Amino acid sequence: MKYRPILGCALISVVLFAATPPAFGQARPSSGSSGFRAGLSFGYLSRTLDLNEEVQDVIPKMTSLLASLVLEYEFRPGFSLSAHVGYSSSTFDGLTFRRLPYSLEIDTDSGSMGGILLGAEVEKSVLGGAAFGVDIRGQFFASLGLNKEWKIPGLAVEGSAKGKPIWMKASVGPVLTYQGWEGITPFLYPRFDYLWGNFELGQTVQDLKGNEKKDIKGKSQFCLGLGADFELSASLRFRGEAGLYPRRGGIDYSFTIQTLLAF
Amino acid sequence: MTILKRKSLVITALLLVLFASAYGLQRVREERTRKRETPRDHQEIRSLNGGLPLRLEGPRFAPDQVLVRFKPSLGTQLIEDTLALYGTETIKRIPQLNIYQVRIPAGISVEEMAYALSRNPDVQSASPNYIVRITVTPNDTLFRYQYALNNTGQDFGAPGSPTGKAKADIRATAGWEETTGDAATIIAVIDTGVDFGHPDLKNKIVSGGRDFVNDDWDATDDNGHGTFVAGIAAADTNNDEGIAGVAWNCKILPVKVIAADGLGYYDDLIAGIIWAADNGAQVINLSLGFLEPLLDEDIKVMRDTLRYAYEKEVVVVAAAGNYGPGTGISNPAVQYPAASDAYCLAVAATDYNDTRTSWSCFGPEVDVAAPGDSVLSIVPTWYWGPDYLPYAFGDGTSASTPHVAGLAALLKGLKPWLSVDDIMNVIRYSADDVNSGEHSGRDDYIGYGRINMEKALVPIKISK
Repeated sequence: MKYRPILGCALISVVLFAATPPAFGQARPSSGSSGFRAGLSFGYLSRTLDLNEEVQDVIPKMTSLLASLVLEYEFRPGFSLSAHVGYSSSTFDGLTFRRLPYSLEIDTDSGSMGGILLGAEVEKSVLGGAAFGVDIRGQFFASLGLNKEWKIPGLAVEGSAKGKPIWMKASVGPVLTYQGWEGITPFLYPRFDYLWGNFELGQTVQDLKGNEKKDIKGKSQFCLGLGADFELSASLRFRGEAGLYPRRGGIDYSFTIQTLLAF
Repeated sequence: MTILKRKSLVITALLLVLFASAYGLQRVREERTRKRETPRDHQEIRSLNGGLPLRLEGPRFAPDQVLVRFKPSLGTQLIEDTLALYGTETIKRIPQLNIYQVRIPAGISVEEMAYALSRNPDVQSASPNYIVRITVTPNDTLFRYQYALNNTGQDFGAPGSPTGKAKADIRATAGWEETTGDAATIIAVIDTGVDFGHPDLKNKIVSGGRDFVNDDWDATDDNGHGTFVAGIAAADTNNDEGIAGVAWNCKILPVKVIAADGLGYYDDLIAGIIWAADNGAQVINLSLGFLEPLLDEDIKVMRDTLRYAYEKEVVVVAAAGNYGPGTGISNPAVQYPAASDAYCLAVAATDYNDTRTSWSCFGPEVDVAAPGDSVLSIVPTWYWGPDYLPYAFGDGTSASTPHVAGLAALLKGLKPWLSVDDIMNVIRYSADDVNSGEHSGRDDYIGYGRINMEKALVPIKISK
């Protein structure tokens, strides 16, 4: 986890930076009044995983559906903090656990695994006033997986496996916005995006017991996000974003839609 | 010194499970003599892969290719235009099915391109160009007669035997996909010694071993049984000749406790087990045994001996015995040391149809079964004389046991962190309950069932 200090520094920088008054220019105009907003966020994430160079027969992947309630507080125009609470449903492919008494393979047939989703997001406008603006945005999400149990097929006796994935995702980067259109603000969000976590799988076959924890991390650590904020009314905002994660041999991707209502 | 005293007291000695002499080796010798058959023709079986080791791992599909099947109504020009839109380059066409093998541009994965193409309404299917492999089948020329390892329902060549039932085997080829063993894993064959010069064994023996019969350091086989057993467990495999062993890469440590006449003494057996455990064996094969001891104290000595090996992390595998009801002998109980339940795996015998053999001993101590009827293995080069290949079919739980010992050795190499109990349980619980029609679940006849290397070694997919 050599990246954790970097991530920590990055997030602290974002918070400190966000706490300072705008120094580099005018903050971009707020689309609504300061105060609370609440809404819903839905996301889809498809990430190729890196399992510490472990040789795998199938390229390991994780896909997740995310749904969360969002509460955003805008301290002042251009500076907001939001919290997410929700549910994640993650499916894994190509995870082989060979340190268990019976080696087990988790793939798409193993089904999705639920988890509690917690997240926080901070955004601060650093340049604005003209047609183009620059914000800085930091995000952190954690999916705290719930235990899932499977029967181990084909053995002479009853056996079961219990799995629990935990993953986290932290990202930070500038948000380049174009504010020249009425009601729609397209943005480009290139970011450092780090996904890490672990998948713990336990096995019980009568008196035979084993446990294996496998560290996982996203293969790509860079994401280019493309999206737009739609001000549907003075109090209703809709955001859509697609993220592309280039990596050697392909591209991973994510999608997010979010709607927020001011009150 | 109690042990030495027993040498004279235990006159019942060791009734070596010479299934081979009772049923197999001798029977085959007589058959061969009568029919004047020679297996020399097997020497002409050519290698299928030029003797090169088979690839066990690698990518699942070509890294830059996709196979695209277009709808039959589409013309060639339209297809080529479509493919050009995706930036692909046509490598080959299979016109009968309208399939195009295309090279995809750099920067996009095979999965993504296959997905993108499959969304095109003109495309019937788009898939990676999967790499097809033969299963891990060794190139040993007599492998096709080893139904115990890979039973396709073939004529496995035992004189007079019927063909077997497909899949009545220990799933060795599937198991070898995961591992063919670690050269550091040593199987001690405590038996009549081994033939150090046998072409299918000479490279697999770690040392001259120990001869407790003649009290020297040369465990040369003067009976044939030990060589036969060692061959099943770990014959030199994928070497273009002879047979395949269960544990391809594992080594054999010969320990001689049985004399040329097939008999040995209890003290030598005890000393042999202790010596093997002290000298690097991780698995001990005991294709031998004796009937119920005279005194309970005698059982305790054997149990303590096996516990000594157990505490040294050695997996002990022992034959249940060949005195089942089919032999007319009144006591079909599992023989010792297999009956010393806690510290060893007791192995019964099945045949080429996954049926328990009538001569296999049974009792609550039986853990698992393995093929023991008409099993092909090696015999010493002097055994048949110069006109015959040094191979033979044999029967008995002695032949079943090294299949299990081989699997234990594969597990030891693959998962060295597992305890002896874990390895024994992995072998037990992964067995196929092949007599579930008569005795569902664990029973006294074949224990948990006939061993299954695939389930014991290969990752099991778990599904919702």
